[in-house]
Amino acid sequence: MPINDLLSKKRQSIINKSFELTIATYPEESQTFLREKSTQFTNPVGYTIYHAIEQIIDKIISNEPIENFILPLEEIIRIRAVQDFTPSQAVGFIFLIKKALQDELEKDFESSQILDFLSRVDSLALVAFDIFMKYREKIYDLKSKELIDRTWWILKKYNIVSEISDKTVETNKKF
Amino acid sequence: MAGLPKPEELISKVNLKKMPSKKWMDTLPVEFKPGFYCYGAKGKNLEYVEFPNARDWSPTDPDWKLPEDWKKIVIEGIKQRLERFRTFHVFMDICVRCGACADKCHFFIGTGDPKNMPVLRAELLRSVYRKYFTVGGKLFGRNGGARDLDLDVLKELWYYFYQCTECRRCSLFCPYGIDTAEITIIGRELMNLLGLNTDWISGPVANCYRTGNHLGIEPHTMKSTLEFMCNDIEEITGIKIEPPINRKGAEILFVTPSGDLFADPGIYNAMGYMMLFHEIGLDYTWSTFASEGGNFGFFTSLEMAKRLHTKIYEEAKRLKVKWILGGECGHMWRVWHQYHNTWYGPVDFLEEPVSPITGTKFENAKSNKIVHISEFTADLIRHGVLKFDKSRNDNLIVTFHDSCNTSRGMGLFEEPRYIIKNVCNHFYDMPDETIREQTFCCGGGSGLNAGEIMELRMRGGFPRANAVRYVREKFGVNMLANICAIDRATLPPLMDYWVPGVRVTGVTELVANAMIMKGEKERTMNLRMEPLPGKEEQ
Repeated sequence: MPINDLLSKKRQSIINKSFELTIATYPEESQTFLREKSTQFTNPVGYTIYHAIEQIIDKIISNEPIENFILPLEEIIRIRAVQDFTPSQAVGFIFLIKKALQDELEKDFESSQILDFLSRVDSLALVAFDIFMKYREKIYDLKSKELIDRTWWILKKYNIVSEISDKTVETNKKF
Repeated sequence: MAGLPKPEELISKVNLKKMPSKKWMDTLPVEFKPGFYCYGAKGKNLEYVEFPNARDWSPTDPDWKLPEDWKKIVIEGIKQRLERFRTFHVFMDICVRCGACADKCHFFIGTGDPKNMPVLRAELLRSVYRKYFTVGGKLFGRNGGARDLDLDVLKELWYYFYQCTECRRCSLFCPYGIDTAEITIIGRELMNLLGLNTDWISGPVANCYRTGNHLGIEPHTMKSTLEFMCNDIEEITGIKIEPPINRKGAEILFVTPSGDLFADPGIYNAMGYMMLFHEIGLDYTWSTFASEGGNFGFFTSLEMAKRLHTKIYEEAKRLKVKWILGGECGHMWRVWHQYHNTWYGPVDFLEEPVSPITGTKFENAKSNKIVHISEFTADLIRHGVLKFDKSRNDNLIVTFHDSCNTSRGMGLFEEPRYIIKNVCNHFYDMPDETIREQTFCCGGGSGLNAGEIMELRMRGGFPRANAVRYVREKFGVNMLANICAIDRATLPPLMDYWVPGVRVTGVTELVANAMIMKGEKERTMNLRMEPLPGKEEQ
């Protein structure tokens, strides 16, 4: 039986285990709350992580290209990028998904087959790092943008700085 | 290689046991990481308002430069407040730790940090209270839920009382009605006794004490700012407005947060106020002294809050107005509704507010004589005073964020929605459990809208943003309306991070864009000077 067929059969158990391990990276006292995956608005962290993991596992099972993983990875990493994690902890849940997959595979497949399959999952960790950086950079961008929004208007109004108006550009085009 | 851990060992505690392996009291000291705490106050700002222990300090300094007897000061401070505030004493005693509040805090929901559970945040202080003020705590110590106040405990108290926005969502779910926000308020007062203020709060407080507003805008600057806005209004509508400033004998004093005078998108709201008042011929005045509705003093001590609030009260007296109209602000309304009368008793020199346009008597404002701009505008609309071209807002698909203070603090739910529905064709509410009295905080209230804690704001604001995202995906919402200046400052970056494509507006901006003014020219631009729907090519 091909690996993907077995994973299809074990889909729910892999999703549950990946979710369980990811939630275990949060403080112990909060895990019961975060594990509640059906309350979209009152537990957005648990809900979002569960549904993104579900999508990631489905995409692994159906051999989808790496571009298709970006959205669900972003869902999780955007949250973890602003939580109390180091960068490695924020993106390291990929290895927890890998572990959940490995646990299901090792009974039925040769280790070389498993190694080959799971090394592809490692690529997700590389993409995850790119996404993490994107959102960290976004935070710094927001900080600087907030400062500009709070001051730029008044600098312009008091003629401390000036911008080229749209009208000037149109006038120049005529010449 | 055997020395290296496996990835899962490195990143995860993978402790699937049901009981926590460490008790919460054993998790000290708190680690101060960038993005998680506000910068410490500057000495000059504390000194200006005669706050104790004025000096420059930083939370990451090992030495917080505390007075030698700091412990005595805190314990004495708790004692005074137990005697003075019955609520505080009751709240310290009656919590049964049922946990109903635990998962209601946006900071807990967004972080998973157990000390962000309102019950545990309060327990941080309660444990100190037990140790020094209860027999059980004195006798049984740790077994009685009590602990000594030491430097690590003090740092923990500071860290978590500045991770609460005093939004009061938790209090809604407490079967005993414990208001954890009040515990945070007292907690911050205790910190204030040691000069442990934040820069983002103490700077505005000192400014407000000096110039009347948080931003330190001086009278001539405020005047020219309003005039700049009026120039833009003239360009957009063809109508010239002269803003009335410090005019004695005006019927109404108008007070709004200073964020509306300088920050984008609040400025469009300020333009909207002036257009509305001009259109109905309101006899009102701005004040360059009472130039701030907000009150950051409320985040330091009640005495400071009263000191800053006094200017509005005194200015109303000096200008001999009949009543006060308040702009779109959050905690300004909390102060007016829940503290003003305790401080001053019913205001005896003002009149019970009556709309000079519709004759409506605002009986709800009988005691403190201040009317909310949304109540006032909704009444105008109800009486058919205003004419609107709703299609000018047709490019907007709007949802409404209930601000914590105006919703849970004063029950203002319907008026803003009524206004929006009358000036916009497309309005959709967010899910029930995230609006009205159950609204989620923007993540930056109570002086936590500082740039240095952007990460904290993003995760605290995640429950709100998550609900906005739902209506964006379902209905295409692209505009988040609100009636609070802090919201107008904090929600734009929050949307940018979680729900790109959703912009933020005050409700009065929407009103002013749709309002057909007498004698206006054909409008092609909105107040942001963007083309109106259908006028893009002109």
